[in-house]
Amino acid sequence: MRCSKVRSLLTSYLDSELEERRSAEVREHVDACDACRAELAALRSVTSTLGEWAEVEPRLGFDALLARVDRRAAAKPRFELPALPVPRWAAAMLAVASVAGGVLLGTIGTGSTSVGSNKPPSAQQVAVAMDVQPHDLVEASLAYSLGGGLQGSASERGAQ
Amino acid sequence: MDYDTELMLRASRGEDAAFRELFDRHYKRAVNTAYRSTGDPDLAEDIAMDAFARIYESRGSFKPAAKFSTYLYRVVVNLSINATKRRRVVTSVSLDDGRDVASSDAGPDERVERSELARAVRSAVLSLPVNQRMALVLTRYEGLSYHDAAQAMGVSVGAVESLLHRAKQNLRKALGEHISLE
Repeated sequence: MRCSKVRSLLTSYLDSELEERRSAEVREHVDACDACRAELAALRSVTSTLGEWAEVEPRLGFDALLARVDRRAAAKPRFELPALPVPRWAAAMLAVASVAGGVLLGTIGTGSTSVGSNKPPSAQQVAVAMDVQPHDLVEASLAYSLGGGLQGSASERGAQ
Repeated sequence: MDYDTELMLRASRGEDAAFRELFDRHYKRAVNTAYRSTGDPDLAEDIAMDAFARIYESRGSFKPAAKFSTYLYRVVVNLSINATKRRRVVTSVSLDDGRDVASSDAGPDERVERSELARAVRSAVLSLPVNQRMALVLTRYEGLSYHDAAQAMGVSVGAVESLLHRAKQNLRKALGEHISLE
């Protein structure tokens, strides 16, 4: 294995995230290569130094959470549609139109989130589907997770 | 089914005691994930509270599709990214705000030295691009596997590997004088 390849794997090697065969290849190379061994030592030192930044102790507890939930509930706008009498024939027509529209959309839909796809939608797709901004994925991911879509959802979204 | 998922399912059926146990088990980790993402302990606590409040409000529709911790991290990560974008976090806040868990058995000189090192580490981590920082926080500080970190961030495992590789290179440059090579 070449030095450049080995160096790209050193972080995963230190974190024990490489397959055993790959890990053995890296170990073998590092044992024989002074430059890569120095690189590994430097990375190990960086990882160790990061532990100097201590964690914090939270100040709040569960009661604060319940108070926050109450505040959020009180802050939500209450919006109720007035109960209007709808004739039965109008309700029936609306139902038929909804079903027909759904069938039509299902027939012509060719996007990557089509019903027949085995692949779970990416967070980006969920965001688009929910009509939220791509950078504001909190609500989308919440709904996505609750809906059972998180499993295996490592998306192809570009890394920074 | 793991214990957290069992608790969340019980919470979804209206058992507040089960949600309280989930909160007690994970709140500190949520706070520290947000803290190391933003550098601000008060903002971190606000983010962690917000994450739990949202999960509590949505508990009725929970389905056990992933580990609860992954689900929680995903919400905390997204809230932290949003908070970081909304507000330019000050990275030079003193570490002596009484909230860091400091080593108590060190002498005065050693405490000063370690405080300087801690400040340098904090500054270096907070200066990383946000996705590199998130990958580092989840794996190095929270101990998640690359797979779980990828799920929490909504990226591939390969992307996490790449982000961590670049993060370590950047940290090495930023921490140069503080790194001891044996």
